[in-house]
Amino acid sequence: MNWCRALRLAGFAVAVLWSGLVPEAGAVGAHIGYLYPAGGRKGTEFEVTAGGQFLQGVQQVVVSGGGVSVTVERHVKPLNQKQLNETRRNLTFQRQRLQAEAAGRKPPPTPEDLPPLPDHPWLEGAAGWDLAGLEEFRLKVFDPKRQPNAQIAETVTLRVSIAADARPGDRELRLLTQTGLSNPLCFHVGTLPETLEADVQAGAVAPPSTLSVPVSLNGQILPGDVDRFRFHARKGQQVLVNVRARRLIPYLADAVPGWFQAVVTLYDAKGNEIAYADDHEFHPDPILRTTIPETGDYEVEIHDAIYRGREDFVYRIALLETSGGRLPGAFRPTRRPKGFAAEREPNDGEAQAEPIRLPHRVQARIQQVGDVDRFRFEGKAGEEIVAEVFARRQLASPMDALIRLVDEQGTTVGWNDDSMEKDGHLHLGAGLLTHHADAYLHTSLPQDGVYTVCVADAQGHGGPAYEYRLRVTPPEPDFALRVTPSSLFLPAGRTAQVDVHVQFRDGFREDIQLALVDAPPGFRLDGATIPAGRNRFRVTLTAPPRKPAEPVALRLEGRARVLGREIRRRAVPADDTMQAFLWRHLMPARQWLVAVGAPKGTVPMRMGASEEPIRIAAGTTADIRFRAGKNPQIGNLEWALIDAPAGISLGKVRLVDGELVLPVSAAESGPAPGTRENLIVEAFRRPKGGGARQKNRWSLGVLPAIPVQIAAAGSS
Amino acid sequence: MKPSPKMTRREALKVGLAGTAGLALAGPRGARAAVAEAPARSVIQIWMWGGPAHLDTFDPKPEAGSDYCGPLDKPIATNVDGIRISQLLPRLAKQADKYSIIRSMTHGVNAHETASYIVQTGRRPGDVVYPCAGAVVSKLKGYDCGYQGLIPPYIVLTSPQGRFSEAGFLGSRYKPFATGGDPNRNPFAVEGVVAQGISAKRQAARRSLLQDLDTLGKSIPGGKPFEDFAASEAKAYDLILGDAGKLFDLAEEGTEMRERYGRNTFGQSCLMARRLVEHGVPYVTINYRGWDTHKQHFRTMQQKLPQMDQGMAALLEDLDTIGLLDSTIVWWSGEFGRSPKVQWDAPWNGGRSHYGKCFSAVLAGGGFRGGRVVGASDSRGEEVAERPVQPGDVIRSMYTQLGIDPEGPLPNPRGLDVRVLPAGDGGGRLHELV
Repeated sequence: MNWCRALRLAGFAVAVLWSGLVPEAGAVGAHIGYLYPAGGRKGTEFEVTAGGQFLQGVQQVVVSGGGVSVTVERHVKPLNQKQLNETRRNLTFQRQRLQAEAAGRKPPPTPEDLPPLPDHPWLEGAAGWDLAGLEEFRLKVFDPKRQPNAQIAETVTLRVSIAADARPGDRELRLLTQTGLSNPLCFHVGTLPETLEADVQAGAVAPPSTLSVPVSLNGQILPGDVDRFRFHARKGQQVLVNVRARRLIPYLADAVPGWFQAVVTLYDAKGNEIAYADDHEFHPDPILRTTIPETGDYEVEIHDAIYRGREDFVYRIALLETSGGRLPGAFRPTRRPKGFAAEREPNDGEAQAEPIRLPHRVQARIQQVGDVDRFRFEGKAGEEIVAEVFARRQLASPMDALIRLVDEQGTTVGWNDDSMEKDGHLHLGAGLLTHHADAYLHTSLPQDGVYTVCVADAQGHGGPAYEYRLRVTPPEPDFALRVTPSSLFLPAGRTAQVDVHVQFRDGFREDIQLALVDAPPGFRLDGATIPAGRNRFRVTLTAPPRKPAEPVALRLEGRARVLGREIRRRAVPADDTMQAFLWRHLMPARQWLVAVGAPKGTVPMRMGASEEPIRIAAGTTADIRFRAGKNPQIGNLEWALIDAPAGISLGKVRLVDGELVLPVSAAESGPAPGTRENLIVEAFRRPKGGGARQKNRWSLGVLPAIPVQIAAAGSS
Repeated sequence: MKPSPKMTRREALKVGLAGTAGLALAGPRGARAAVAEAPARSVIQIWMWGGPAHLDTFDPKPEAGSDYCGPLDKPIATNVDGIRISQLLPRLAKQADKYSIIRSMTHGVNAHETASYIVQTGRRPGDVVYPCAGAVVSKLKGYDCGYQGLIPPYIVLTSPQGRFSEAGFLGSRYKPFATGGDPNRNPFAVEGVVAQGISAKRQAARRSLLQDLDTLGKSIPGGKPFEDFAASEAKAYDLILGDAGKLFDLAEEGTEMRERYGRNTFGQSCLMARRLVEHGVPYVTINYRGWDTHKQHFRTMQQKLPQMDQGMAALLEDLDTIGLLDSTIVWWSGEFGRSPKVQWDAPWNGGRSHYGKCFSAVLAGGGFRGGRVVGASDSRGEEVAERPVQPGDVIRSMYTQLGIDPEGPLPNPRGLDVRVLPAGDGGGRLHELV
């Protein structure tokens, strides 16, 4: 049965583009994989190289936080295949000629068909290269053992100026091209004098000059590379080597392990190892602190733990004199927050369990090796309780928490070691942490009685730093949101799809209403109701019809009613990043940045739509109507549902009396009745003419999200 | 006209029977009793090392759109009504009546090592490392059970897996003999058998020199260790200088035949595998590298699928022509499939990742029916839609065809009380194919 319904709701402007098209497959935006150096000293001006892909037409650099201005100097794409072939032939002949000369033989005659070297920045001065230079180039470009890394093959040279009063710390840097806004990368504003590695070639070659402490050291580790820096230090001086590598580029998708695992070693002038560091606490970036034994020259060495390397193995080392104290990133004793009780010792024996009444919050510590903290409470059969430890997440505590709930007989009712929130291979909300050491237990009590919450370190460790916060409470339903990607580019009036990820807490199961907060006029969110129980939901953002002067940092908020009160949570902007071919992480970003491009020949079209979902009964088809305007070409477009649930399909789209009719069908075997979904419809155009070009179709962008709800078969 | 294998069907049957009786390249003790009546005598395992994309080989999904099938969106019909395969496999399309496709393979593991273990042993990892199918066949159809060929019963062309211990707790005796070398080169330098640049004549001269220099052995006649050593040495030289060494000489096949299989490592490995089963070797694995296509996936497919098509199609056709397909199982599989949705973003730029939730395998010969499709994936190849098949089901079915009781005891040097495959693991035989 064809089930048509005319939609009678207020419409809104939709723009379908006729230019600025992108091919359907491979429609990806600007991407940057590294910045080198990944920071600089305030009050200075210097050059930075950004390596990435799809950076054609880079025109602007956006740095968060203020005080950093950047101009684009040059964009270089890698040699194309024709240029590579010509270069290979030319340089091979050049090498044969130089080898003959070196051996005192007669150089071979120049072939008549020898191609000239392409005019390309990589080949500047190549005609004068010696054998070593030719070999260096060969290894970089033609070595078959080097994997193709198109994702960082393009480079953009930037001129960076940091104001003298710029606030030190980490910033986000993004490149804005004609067609996209790149992902953010960490750019560090520092206060120390800067040094770049003298030689990025493999081999432990220290720069000839001796550096003075403090200094900031910058380099890139290539395959097998070992970098060394020489500095002078006095006897008794305490030096600190603080490496930033994984913190600069948290995850590498195509490397195992999934980041640059830096190790540092300190040597004296005779080559004796003085100190070594691999990790620091549970952070992969090493921090080394040692006392200098004798006045003299020393060398700090850095390499990857298993001698991998690539241009995006970028490091930045702060080499400082220190007077002791807490190491950066280490546990810091914290003041007990309001509402948290202090731990009452002794509470480690079964008979010594501290009596508590729910809800209870406590700040406590695993004092020594083998310590177990116990908290006793009375509970009723069927009562739900939540016990949750915050240690690594809030306190940088080294504790690997383990929670066990036991009854009066000592029988374990429930336990938890690590609490991971995942959607398939995607870790929600953990960011840099890959060991989910904090424990969480949500359970129902089996009978009336006395129960004990036992908290211990899973590895049996303990000490002053093993501090934690514990809550033992009835469920406190709540949620957290992430929105991806953190960078968006869309021409004025155009629509983009964004993903909102939901973390449920303590059994939260309500609809979440999304809204833009304090957004400039013209930005619009569609499909903004996340159905209860969905941990990932697609919505769309439509840009205003006029282009703002600068990229706009938007704020997205989720609102829900829980136990009679409204709670509001900010959607943290994040990027879906992959670690080592498999695991993915939502890496939080500072800004949800939207760059709006100039409008490009849009055809206005209006859709009748509603915040209420359109009902489609299982086994039927609903006609969704758009007011298409007068452009007759709209009828020639192709339309497709993007990642629709199985059983939902789009039929042949037709143009009827100025209205575009999208027939959406729900199979009887499709989504269960009650399912709510946002349908995302993408428009395509095929180029005119036949032949090979007809194989491709070109994306014109998506329409605003269409909320639908599946109804039971036979319902109206 | 295509060249024919030199062996006729009649000759092949003779050799096959001889192989069954352990006569192929037999030593002086001759034949032993034939094992249980079973349709299959040999296995050629084409191991798609790294995990081949099911959507781009035997389970195309053009209707899923370009985000799923990329440029390979024109699957072709085969000589079996209703079965379509990749557009880059036209030769295999003409052989589809000889093989069956399992489109509902699943184990859910996306890590190479674990997935390889599961697919090749039919078991999940646990406290004990179990042997892979090749080692089990080597144990139950090899030297312990009447096979007396000089060529080891479990051959790998050309590199060993390395992802896990193929023999598991059975021990090194049942590990495969990995040939090394490259069958596409002349000569095929088989590890320890055929040395690059050394002729048979020179090899014989070396042996003579070695015997002349063996003054210690000659001075202690009748010493058991020296006799054993001499026997081993004689056996090794028989392998190198005798018929076994010639078996690896693919030049005997002639240029035209070699071209049929494709002048590349995989094509010539298929030809070599055919020669090995012709001579009674019970288990041959072709470790076909290069399918872990995270990047440049479609470019790699354009290069590798035609090679696979040519070599595998020629193998099936020739085995059928000489009458050995009925007794030779050809098993095509990797450790998993690849993600149906193409990863267009950086750093993949059109790649596919690991995918163990749903993938394809192919079985031919050895009594398995051809021209069938077992199970189905969903419209995007992301989920098993019908008839989930676990790797253990495939191995169980192959063992049965080989006359190996899947639930029989698996003798082992550690004295463990284990069965060939665990009973009641929820799996079963592929009844559709037998």
